[in-house]
Amino acid sequence: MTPLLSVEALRVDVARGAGVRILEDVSFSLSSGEAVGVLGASGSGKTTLALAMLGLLPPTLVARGSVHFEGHEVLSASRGARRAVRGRRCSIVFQEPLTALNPRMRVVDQVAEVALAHGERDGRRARDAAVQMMERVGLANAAAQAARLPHELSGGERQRVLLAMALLLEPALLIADEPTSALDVTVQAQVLQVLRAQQRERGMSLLMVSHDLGVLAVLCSRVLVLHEGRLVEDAPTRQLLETPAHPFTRAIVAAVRRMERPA
Amino acid sequence: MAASTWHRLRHDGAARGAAFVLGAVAAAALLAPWLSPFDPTAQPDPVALRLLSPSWAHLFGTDPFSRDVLSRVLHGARVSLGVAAGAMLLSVTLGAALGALAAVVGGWVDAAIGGLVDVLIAMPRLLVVIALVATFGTLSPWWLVALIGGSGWLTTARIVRAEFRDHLQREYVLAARALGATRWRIVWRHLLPAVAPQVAVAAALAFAAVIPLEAALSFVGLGIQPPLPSWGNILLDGTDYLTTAWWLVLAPVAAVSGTVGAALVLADRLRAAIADEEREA
Amino acid sequence: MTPLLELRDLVVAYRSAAGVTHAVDQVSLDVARGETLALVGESGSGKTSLGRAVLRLVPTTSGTVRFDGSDVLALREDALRAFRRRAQVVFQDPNASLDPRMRVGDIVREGIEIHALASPEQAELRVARLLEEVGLTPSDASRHPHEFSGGERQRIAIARALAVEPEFLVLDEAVSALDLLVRAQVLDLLARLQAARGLTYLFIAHDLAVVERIATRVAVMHQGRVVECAPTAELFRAPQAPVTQALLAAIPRIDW
Repeated sequence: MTPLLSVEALRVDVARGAGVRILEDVSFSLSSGEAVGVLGASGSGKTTLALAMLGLLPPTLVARGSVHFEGHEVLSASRGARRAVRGRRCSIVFQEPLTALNPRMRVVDQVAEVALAHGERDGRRARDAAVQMMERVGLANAAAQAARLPHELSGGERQRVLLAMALLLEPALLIADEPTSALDVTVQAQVLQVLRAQQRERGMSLLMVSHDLGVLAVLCSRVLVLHEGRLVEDAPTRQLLETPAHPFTRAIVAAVRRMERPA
Repeated sequence: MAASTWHRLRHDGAARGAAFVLGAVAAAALLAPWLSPFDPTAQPDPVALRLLSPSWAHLFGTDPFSRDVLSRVLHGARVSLGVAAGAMLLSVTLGAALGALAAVVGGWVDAAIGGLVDVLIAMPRLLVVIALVATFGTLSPWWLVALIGGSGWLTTARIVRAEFRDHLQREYVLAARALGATRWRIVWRHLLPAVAPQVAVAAALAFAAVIPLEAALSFVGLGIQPPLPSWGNILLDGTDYLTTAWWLVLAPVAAVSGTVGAALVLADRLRAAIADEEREA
Repeated sequence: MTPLLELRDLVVAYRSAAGVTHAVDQVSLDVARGETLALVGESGSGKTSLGRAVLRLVPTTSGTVRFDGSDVLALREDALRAFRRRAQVVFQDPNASLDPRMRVGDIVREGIEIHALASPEQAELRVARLLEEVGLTPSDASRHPHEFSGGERQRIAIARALAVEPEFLVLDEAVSALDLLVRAQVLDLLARLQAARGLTYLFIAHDLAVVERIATRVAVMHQGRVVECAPTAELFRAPQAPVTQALLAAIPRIDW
């Protein structure tokens, strides 16, 4: 069976910066229903990797190599083809839920917009579906919250709105870029639960990017380690925790162990 | 990498061009006595040499009194730019000081300055200045600087107050307070450098506004009085002969629009540099 | 021995259009010399307001703050400046807490200048030593904050705080914005500095996992109040308040 997502020899360079390489020869694949973590420090290129999966790189970056999603090449796809995939078959959630929302638009309309952009004609039906999805991702009192503007919601509530947008059309793959690092720990735990439920119930695949090994270990069965633009390790989570191979991974695992075991 | 606003500006072609134009105009003004081919007030032969069209001897022709237009515009630059620069300095300093005071001291001082700004901003500036000039009769250039500068500080005060209040909330100012820094140290070391680019924008815009204001006042006969040349009164002299001796207005119009245009371009590029820096920060 | 810091019935209230909010509500706490008291709570629990009120960076409504026996809220001018030398702060976001227009050397030197602690030549030497102490190099003094990584910037902020040789540091989410590995390194640095300089820490965090290793005791805040305060091991073993239990349960635990 062909994998849902397969990345081969992906390289990303800064367009005008001579020799500034952000990602170097990254290859991996992700099967349907699998949850894979990408572990990396800030500046490791992990956000660039997440954006490249959807063909969302800014024009200042140039990508080479190939990214195949559901058998189609993403990097060379036409704009229209990419748009047809985004939000419907593959979505993304970011770290900062405030800047990812339009400040002057009711949140329900922003969620419903995803359906309207992908062929839904009936505005009311789109909004009903939006409210339903907001409920499913655990937004308390979703019917009332729906009519609010982003700044009237808490950080955790905004992140759920973004999740509802990403999950509305039940995509086959969700890419999550540090989706919980701006949130309180108890809210983080709830969001992780929603992601796990979506993944288990619908068989959705998950590519979760984070610097926090603890968060990845909770959700992902496999972890890729990105260090200075290179994929230095790709192993089942269990194995990564027990026998980390690369020095960077070893340092992180040691730091996590020490943090959890007070002297 | 976030280079500073000033660094960005130095590497901006349009900004460098505008700065060059302003520098050239300023140099021309300073060196007017040596650059001018003729005495700007001399009337060598009001009959034979009047209203000569441009030639190698008189690049921009002569006026009805046989004076060399180029020499007059060069000397006029001293007056016009001097008044504009003086008024700009006065209004920006006054605005920065009052805006800073309002933000840092707060309370009734803030309310008083805010009230004054609200009242003054509602007045049409040109009309107020005209009314004052008309009341006091003709004015020396110094009075003109005081009047235009004294009425032009409102925008700067508003910008500085808003920026100061924003920065006062930031953690680097909080950290300085925690170190025991006095309010005035914080203003001097942290806040003024932070708002300097914004103030520079306001200054460039103020300069761009004052040049035509001085010209307008002189044009209606209330500004700089003849025989002292200014771009405004040279223009005034020229308009009577617009159909017969169009070259009379060519030089002053070019001087005013070139200078104002350069100042506006500089303000615009500065704004873009500030925006770039904020976006990358 | 009397505690270095004593808070009694401290209240910080903010007035807004929506009415009066009690960010800190009747909090009493002691911090002993040389210990690390962790103050943990979710956003909006009042922990940041409390940390700032202790340093008199925000106005307090009522209650007392005593530092080494003297009433901090009653200090005037010179006495307040003397207190600021003894009690310093490191904020969460080094992007916001370092003046982007200043060179690192000037940032670290500012406290030395304010309190006239050294001649210009001596100050330069002290800045160089401080930079080394926090794991940077003396030549970093001539660079600007944006040339450094997040962890390095936080080290600069720590050096700035240490420049006035304080006894007490408020660490306001000082490692929360850092990557896991960098966070561990900065926590190590803080532990080393505490041992070498005999520092007392008020360590503010939203995540119990972060404080487990560094804290002597933990106080948990919720809606402006301290709902539980106990020695670290005890609090992790037998959390009493529901809020503490929820915070503990939320830590993504790795099943080793």
